[in-house]
Amino acid sequence: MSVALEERPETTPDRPMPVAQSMAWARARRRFGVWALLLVVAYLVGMPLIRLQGLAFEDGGAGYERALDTPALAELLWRTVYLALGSMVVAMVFGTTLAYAASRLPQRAGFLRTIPIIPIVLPAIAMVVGWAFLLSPGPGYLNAALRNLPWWDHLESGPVDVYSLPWIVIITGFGLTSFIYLFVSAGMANISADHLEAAHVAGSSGLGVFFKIVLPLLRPSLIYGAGVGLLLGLGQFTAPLLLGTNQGIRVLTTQMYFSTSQIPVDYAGAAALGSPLLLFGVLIVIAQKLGIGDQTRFVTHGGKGTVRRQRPSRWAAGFIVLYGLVAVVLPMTGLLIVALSPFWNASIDPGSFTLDNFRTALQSPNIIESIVTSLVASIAAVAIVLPLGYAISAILLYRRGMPVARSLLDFLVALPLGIPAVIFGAGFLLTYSEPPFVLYGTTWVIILVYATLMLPFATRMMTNGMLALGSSYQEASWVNGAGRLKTHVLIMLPLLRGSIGGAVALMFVLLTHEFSASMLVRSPMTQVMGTVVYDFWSNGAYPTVAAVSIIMTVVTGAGVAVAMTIGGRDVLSKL
Amino acid sequence: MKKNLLTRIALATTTAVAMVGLAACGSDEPSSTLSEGDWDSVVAAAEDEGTVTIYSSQGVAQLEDFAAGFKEKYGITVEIVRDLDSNLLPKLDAEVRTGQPSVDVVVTSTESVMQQYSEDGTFAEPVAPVFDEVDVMRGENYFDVDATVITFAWNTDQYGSTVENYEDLLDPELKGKIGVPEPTVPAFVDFYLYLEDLYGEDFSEKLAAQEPKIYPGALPAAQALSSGEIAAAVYVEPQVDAKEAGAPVDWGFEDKQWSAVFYGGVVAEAPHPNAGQLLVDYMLSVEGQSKIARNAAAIRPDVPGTVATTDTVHRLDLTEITPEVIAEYQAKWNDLFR
Repeated sequence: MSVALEERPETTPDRPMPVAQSMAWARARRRFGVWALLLVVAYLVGMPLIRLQGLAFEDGGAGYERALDTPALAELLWRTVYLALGSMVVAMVFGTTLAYAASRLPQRAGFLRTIPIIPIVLPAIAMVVGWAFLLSPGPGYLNAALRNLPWWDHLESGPVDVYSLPWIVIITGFGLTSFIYLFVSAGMANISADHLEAAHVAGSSGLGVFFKIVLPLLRPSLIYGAGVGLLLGLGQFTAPLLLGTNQGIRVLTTQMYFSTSQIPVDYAGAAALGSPLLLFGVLIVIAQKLGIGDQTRFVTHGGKGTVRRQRPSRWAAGFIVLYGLVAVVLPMTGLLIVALSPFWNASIDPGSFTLDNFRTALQSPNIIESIVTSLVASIAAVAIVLPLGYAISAILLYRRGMPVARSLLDFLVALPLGIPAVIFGAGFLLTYSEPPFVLYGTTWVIILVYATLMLPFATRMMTNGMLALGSSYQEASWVNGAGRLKTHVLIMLPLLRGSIGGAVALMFVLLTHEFSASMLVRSPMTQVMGTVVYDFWSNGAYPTVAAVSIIMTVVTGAGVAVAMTIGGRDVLSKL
Repeated sequence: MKKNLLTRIALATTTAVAMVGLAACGSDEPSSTLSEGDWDSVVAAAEDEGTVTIYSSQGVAQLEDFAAGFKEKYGITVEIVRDLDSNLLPKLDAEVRTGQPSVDVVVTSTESVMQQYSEDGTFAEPVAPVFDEVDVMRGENYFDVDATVITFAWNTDQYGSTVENYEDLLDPELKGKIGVPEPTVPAFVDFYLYLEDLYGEDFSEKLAAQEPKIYPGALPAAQALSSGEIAAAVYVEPQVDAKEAGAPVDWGFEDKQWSAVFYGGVVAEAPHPNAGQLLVDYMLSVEGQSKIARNAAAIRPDVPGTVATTDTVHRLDLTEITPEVIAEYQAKWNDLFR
């Protein structure tokens, strides 16, 4: 198109220059726009990471020296890897089995497909606290119940110790299961039912089909899921922080946090400790970009999926319900009992149940303020990241030329997914407590870190929406003489409203219970819900912790309900 | 002329980010300064400010009582941020560095930091008339507030015997069921060194051999004790309140007690400088001490509800517990307990 326009001056000699000039001018402006956007994203994503490394290398790498002096550093690293691998394996086993079960649900039980996703939506800190109330070796309710069994009745505590590394791994794994479930379910949707039917007809059992047909065909999604699981596992913070402290079980992320929460405070050491995770995250993102490359190659015809129907299985529904009971209902019940009790101990006394803890929580100005801050920060972050994500997707998908700027943009946007939120939190704390933007202590620093963390999600969901739309609508609009802006506003935005609604809903839900980055950027007077729960947890008032966790879950639950109203019932599976 | 949406979005974003910066640079509260008139004018200005913020590592229950008393007397709301020194001080440090503290009064047990803030001008000169009554100034601009007596306690359901002193905690029956504090702040290191003073240098090793659980401070350890998560705690306040509330706990005292002295300071660039001064005046009064120093040692004699006075309690000696000593013990502790 541009070639045709550039030739025009020769054919219309009366008005040659203005058109060419205006074209060149428009191109320059467009280039400027892309570079300006790149600058904003680079500052948001890159600056905190650069500041961190700068600090770690200050004074001849003093931060690295101190990090290397960390007591039992080898064990710390080993534990970090163990947590990542272990929770990834737990999540892979449960996630894959759940996805297979979901694919074999009877028609009427289709709604059960949402159950494995619920743990993503619930605040991780509430779930972890719930598990502690159930499985603390002494007063844990579930432990107390298990000690009634004949083979455990001699025990004074246990049999389960939620504060031990294996259980931290298992509980973290529960949290990651939802992610694996989503990836594997997506992969499973691509398996042709004909193969499975053929195997069934040939006499293979359900188990045989799963191991001989489904698993091998799922290999790409499994490998991708395992990679993401590993990455998420390496960055896990909540369960090791809340459960690992009592027995001195630290991983890199919690050690980083403790370096910033001691006297004297050691930001440089914390920055250095985060480096392995930073490096690994960057490598994974690069590998993924090289592996996938140009996303437009993956455009397939949309909306013509064949109706697959696998043989329904009764155990499938049973398994999913059982999982929901264990992973969701159990910890929430633990929370509820403690929240209703005057204090937490092994015996449950319904006679003493009281709403006092909820009253205390709701009367505390700190808690109300934290709920407001969470909501405001989440909404503001979504409002910032949504146009950013839209513009980035449009540039990455439709823009030709400028390969350097586009690759950089693509890479920067993906970083927050590969690098643990704790590292971004530390980087934001450093970057925004010094000029030029002194934002520490205000809600703005929380908003910016939230927006940064959501960049990959916003961009990815917009990109998916645009890919599914294809380019024919835009081309039709252009051919009919509409400009780019008009095309975006009148054609693209209305067509993408599903994706946009879904993105808004999902990001809002993820942000209202963000914990890891918030822990580092919060100030004593600017707290969010998760950090307030942690403060109550570490300052010791368990019934209040439980009550606040439940309130937090209700607020998030309301968010999910709104999300489903805006984005449709399947909004959660769009991750 | 064709408009380019991307350009517009990019420009709008840049502008928005710039505006965020500008908005955050301006404070959302009108800044207030310390009244230059007499004390009555400070009190009047404080009542105008209407609210005051305290960062403190004192007990939660005591802080809440104290805040309620202040509110009743002056109608000024006290916002309490209660946390361990190891969490509060880094955050305070960040606020001081940005030049925008949101706190008016700070109370911690880490004297070295309070001393430094007193000297570098972070703390303002306290002007309350109460300072004519009591002799509590430690440096130019920081002062004693009270001292919490710390002792051992046990869960009577979990442990049948009585604990007479810290050495009794080495009972094999308590293996794996003791709670100890993590020495993240100088006061905790001082406490471990006090134990080594009493029972010999190998006491930390013996305690570590009991495979204790680690708690960040006295309050979570006390909760764990009441709930039965641990059977005995090495570092808690006397469990008067918990026992009264019906928790199965008891406690005792060593002959020579250890305590954490709390120091206070008024922040110079505080958002509510008058209310901060007034809060300190109340904190050191007989009424304020009866609330903030309940079950603890007061800075003045004859305060109802307090158990001792600060001139008789153990105090961390800054000349002995130097940063080197602290780092050395922390390294030793990490080897032993983790």
